[in-house]
Amino acid sequence: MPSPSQNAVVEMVGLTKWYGRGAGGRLALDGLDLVVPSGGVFGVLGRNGAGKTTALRCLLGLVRPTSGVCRVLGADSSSDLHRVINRIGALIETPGLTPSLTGRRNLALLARLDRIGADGVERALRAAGLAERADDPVATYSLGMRQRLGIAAALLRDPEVVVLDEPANGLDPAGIAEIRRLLVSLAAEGRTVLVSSHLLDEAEKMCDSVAVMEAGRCVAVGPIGDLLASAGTGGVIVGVAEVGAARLVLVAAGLNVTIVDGRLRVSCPPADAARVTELLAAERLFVNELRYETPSLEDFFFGLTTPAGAGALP
Amino acid sequence: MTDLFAVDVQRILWRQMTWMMAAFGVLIVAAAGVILFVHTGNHHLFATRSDLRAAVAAAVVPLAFAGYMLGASALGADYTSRALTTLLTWEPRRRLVLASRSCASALVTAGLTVVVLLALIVALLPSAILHGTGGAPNGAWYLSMAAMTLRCVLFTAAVSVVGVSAAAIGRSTTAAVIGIVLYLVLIENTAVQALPSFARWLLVTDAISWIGQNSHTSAGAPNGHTVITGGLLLVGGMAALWAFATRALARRDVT
Repeated sequence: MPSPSQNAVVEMVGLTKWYGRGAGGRLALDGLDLVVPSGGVFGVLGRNGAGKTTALRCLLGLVRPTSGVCRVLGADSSSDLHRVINRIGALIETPGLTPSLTGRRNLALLARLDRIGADGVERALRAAGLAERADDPVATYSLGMRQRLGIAAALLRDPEVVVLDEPANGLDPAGIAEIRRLLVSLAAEGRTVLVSSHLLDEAEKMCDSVAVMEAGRCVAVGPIGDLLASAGTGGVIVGVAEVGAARLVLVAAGLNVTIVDGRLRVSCPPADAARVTELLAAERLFVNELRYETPSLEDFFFGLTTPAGAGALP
Repeated sequence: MTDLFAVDVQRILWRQMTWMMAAFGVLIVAAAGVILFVHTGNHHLFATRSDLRAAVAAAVVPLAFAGYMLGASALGADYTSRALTTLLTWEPRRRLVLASRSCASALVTAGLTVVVLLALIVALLPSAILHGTGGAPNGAWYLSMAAMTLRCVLFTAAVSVVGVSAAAIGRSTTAAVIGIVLYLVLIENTAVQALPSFARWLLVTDAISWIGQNSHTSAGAPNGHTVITGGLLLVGGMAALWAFATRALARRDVT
């Protein structure tokens, strides 16, 4: 169980959630423990059904946990969330807005709750790239535009903590990159951005730390660099003219070698690259390319969450 | 709370449905006024006191239906579109959210009722003035009419709160509509036929007592209840349903 730290923005301790009862019930969260530190972009990763959205819904008081504790900014999400809600901006899945009203009116209604003026609405619309279509009914918006409006609503309060569930849903590649830059810039201003995603490439580009969820539990958490370093899934890529012969030499030396795109991929730490070149040179097989392949978040994720990898998880 | 209430009123007033109901109501009573004027001129005279009173009492049925729909959709539509989910990320106190939405819906329904009833009275005035019989209305009649109009307004506002409550329990406008239809068919109709004495405690007969009675006595009331008793029973039923809806909304997952 993680110990609550003083700068933790979010703390989930033993969070369990059952949907339904009896034999038809489904366990969405299975004693989830998670601490999100203050500042930076924190990603919650996982497959569909891993429990990401349920965890965020518990955090925002939308879903009542079956057991466990969930705190945000020190307030219990189930009982006194209202004390801190004006410091949180959130978007959960597809944004829920009134379709018959324009984007601007939808935001204006929310803004009035916190006595935010028209300039605040305008600023949020511009930040989300929606200023031009702000006076059209939401019913006429594409999924991507609704998503942008949801993000605008989340930013309306100028929040300390931004909670976004799959913010890239429905966005085109340019839109996804734009949202990534926006989230990184929000974190650079000192805010905490908690974002759930299944886009691993995007998460790797924008997150400082991630938590990987599987079957309602957190199976790995930490700064991305630390997680990838601990994964040990990297290897040395070796270019050589006689690939087949070179492979035999290295396998005979006890190394794990595969042929990928006409090159050798040797599973070993970067420091072993010298030994690889030495072995090959001794057989007059000369290396024409040598580089270390950094493991990606995707490699790490699938290593943890594929059925074979899941069995080895703590 | 005041900001939330103001937002809820604004939200209902920005809905097309609200204005369509108001426009439709005014149009219908205007048409009714013209038809009645022509009819009373050619065939019958207009019994000013009793006919005006009967017209206002009759108008409360469609107005109550409109109020119920307005209340049910004020919450039900937001449940369906997930605008309620977004609202709860701004104001997580669900009891407050339901209270505010109920009050806003009641206020707008009351306003709608006043507008339509005033339009109705104006529409019937030509018939009353030019074809009216039974003597000119006096002070007591005006007072009685004003009291009945006020009771109509309070009744439709309460029905609107019932609509909000039903939508909160059923999580959609459709469920709220099905709920009231089932209530009217199964409870008010079928159950009462099987157990006639039960009728005096139900919504429709108490609504008739509350709106239609001339005085504070129970004489002539279908269930033997006075205006006050009928009103109290209506308020009690509304409060019980609202309390149940509040409890349901507070405990339930909103996704």
